[in-house]
Amino acid sequence: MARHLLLSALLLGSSSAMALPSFLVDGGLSVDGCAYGRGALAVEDAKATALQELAGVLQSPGMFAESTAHEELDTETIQWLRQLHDKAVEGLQVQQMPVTISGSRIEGNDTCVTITLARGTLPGHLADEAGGWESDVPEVSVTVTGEGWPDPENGLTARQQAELDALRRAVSQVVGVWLTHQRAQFSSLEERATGDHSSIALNDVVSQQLHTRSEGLVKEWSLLDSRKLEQGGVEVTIQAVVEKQKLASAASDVLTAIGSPRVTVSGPDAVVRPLKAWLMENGIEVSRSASLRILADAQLKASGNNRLLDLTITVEDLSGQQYGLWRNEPSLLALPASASVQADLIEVHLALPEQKEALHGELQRAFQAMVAQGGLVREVRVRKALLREPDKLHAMLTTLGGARDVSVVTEGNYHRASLRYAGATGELASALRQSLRPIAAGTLPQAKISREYEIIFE
Amino acid sequence: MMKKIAHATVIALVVSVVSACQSGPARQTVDAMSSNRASNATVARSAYDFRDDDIKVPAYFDTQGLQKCTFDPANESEGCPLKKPVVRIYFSGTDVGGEGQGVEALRSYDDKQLLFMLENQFAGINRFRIITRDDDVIAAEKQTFLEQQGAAALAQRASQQKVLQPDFIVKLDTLRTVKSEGSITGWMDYTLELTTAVLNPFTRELMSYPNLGKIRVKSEDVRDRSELKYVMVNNRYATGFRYHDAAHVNAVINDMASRGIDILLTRMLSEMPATAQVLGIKGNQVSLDRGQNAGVLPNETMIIFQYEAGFVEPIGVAHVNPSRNSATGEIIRWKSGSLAGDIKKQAAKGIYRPGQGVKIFAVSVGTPAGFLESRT
Repeated sequence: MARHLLLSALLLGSSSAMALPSFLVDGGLSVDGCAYGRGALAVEDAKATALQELAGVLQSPGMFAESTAHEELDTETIQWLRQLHDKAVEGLQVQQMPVTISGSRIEGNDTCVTITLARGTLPGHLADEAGGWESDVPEVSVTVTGEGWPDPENGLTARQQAELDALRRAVSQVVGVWLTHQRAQFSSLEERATGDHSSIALNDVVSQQLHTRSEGLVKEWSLLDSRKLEQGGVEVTIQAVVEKQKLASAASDVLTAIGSPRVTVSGPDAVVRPLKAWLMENGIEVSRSASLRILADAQLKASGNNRLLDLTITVEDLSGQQYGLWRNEPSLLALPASASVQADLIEVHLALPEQKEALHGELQRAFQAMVAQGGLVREVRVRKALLREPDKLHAMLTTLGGARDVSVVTEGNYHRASLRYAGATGELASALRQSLRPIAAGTLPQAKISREYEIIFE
Repeated sequence: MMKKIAHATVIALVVSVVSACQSGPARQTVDAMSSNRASNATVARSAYDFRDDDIKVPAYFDTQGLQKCTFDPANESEGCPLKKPVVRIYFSGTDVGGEGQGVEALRSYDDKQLLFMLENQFAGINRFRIITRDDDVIAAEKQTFLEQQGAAALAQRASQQKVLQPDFIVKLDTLRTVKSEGSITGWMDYTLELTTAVLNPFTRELMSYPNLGKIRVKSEDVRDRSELKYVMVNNRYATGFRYHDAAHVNAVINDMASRGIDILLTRMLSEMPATAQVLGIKGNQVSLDRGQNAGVLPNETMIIFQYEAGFVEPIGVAHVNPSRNSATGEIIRWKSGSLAGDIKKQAAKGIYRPGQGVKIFAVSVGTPAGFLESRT
């Protein structure tokens, strides 16, 4: 029951109507991006849109069809497009591609730019040598178990969720092996992360970053077993074949991208819009789900008839642990109160090289702090009735491999533990189920994972 | 009988001798009347009007450390006596208490524009470096800059040039009072009192220097009494000066404040005279080593004096006009005496340059004559 997953990276909507690229005479690939409004902000927005479009186009099967349908295209161009497509599916970051961006132009209410990828441009080779991990074998086969519950919000069935979970675990497992063998190669990164557990945490960080692209890294997989769980859940056991070369390159990719972590951005629109454009411009990936989030808060301070901007940007994980805090320097500028004063002030503050650098630096520090502290904070809630010896819960959790900073409190009907875990939440859930067994009152139910960081045993 | 007279004479003599030996209390002070009359501006006499006796070195000349001055405003040496403190100016204590005829209109006086006027005038005399408090104009300009030059240019400009840090604040306290006189036909009588303080806002120390004293301006200084007359009928305003109308009252107060500021400026220029070193004298012409940069104003009356070992010797009085970094003047009257005579003789033959260990300075005697007419 082997299934090829090469094109399944086009998952979830990426196959939706994309603006197909226009091919230039010299065979380059160009995409238009437009954004409402005028000025530098609109240009940045348009660039970000165009880059997103390009990323979508590269991954889309439509592009492939389009390119082969063009009879005038030479074999070389078709070959290049094919390579690009493959790279895109492997998780190529468009931000790393050397694109040319045209000057902006006005189209109605929009400002538009055209970005062009010159023919033959391919992303640089990243860590192409696989080093000491049995490089003669091109693939690794692992057997993993995944669990899933229906996710109506994203239109995923329990089965799909379970498969995705299993695939992620497969990738995580291989990443662990890869990192062990590659330790020496990223010693510079280790130096940046302080503390004893930095290497474990790095594994965690890398696998988390790779989760969303696990489909591209798994060459093929087969279902070994499947069974139903409570509350409509499904557990699948699969054997997955991971291409080491691809994984190694993607993982290196993540390591080089430690300065540009994936984040979600939330806050008032006036801040988020320019912030997203700016993050995009600076190679920091913005996504809807990420373990780190940037919360922006812009307050206008009145000074007579004029306004100053007090901009606070916090970096925190999903449980609310704060890793970084950046504040602008409000005294830089005061502008007369008007409807657009906040947007104007934000634009100027983010245009300042020093502030930009400070913010970028703070984001990097935040990311490293998270690595150094031993991973993200997870919350575990266990219903009181489920534990026979609750007094041993703390000791149990402390001995859990990869867990740090454990604290346990009892609230209402639950024992509530908070801990840092260097690994995926799913792994922690399985590990917990195993290790809690000796102190449990009976058979522990399946753990539920909510909001990506909370594990609940009902 | 003769013997008795002789005895009495001896006693009288002794008494008178004893009383002559006793000294009375030293009389070092005299009683003076405290005045509530309006203040007046004091300006320097023109150099042409000086007599020989008038050529004396005025107070507050400061020649120590002039050689340390760099005249780079952003990087002036602490030891330079001409270092201009960076200040912000505030009006404070402008509330008017009580109730009564015309008080309400007096209370609603807005001193913001007056403040800006004061900033402009103070900046012109170059004794302080003023940080303006006109935020609205500054913000409006930055908005225009943003619209015309873009966010990046504005951000760069704003980060390169920071707002100056004030060393002191100059605080103007004003006291406004009004009284009405007369019954059916009455007139308003406004008084404005200004005091100035230079203070360090962090240590809260009020500086003793410059001491500008108190300035009192009365409405009769700026308006003829007939202009402030009004008529009451049945205890209600009928006609004449609209003392209850803030706009009319403000017009009077503005004039009074403006006059107050003029007086303030003249006092400031006397308290903080401009000092420069004489580089040479040729004929009657003197060459000074600094000009506008040290606060030398046009038509300045300056006393030229020699300074040696803590003693000053006036040489003459000059009429000086500054250029940007130097000044030239003409000695209108030489002081009578051997020193001035010697220098005059040498200067008549060629350029006189002060010798080793001898320094000749010029110090202004106060607000230049004509300053009030041409600059206020």
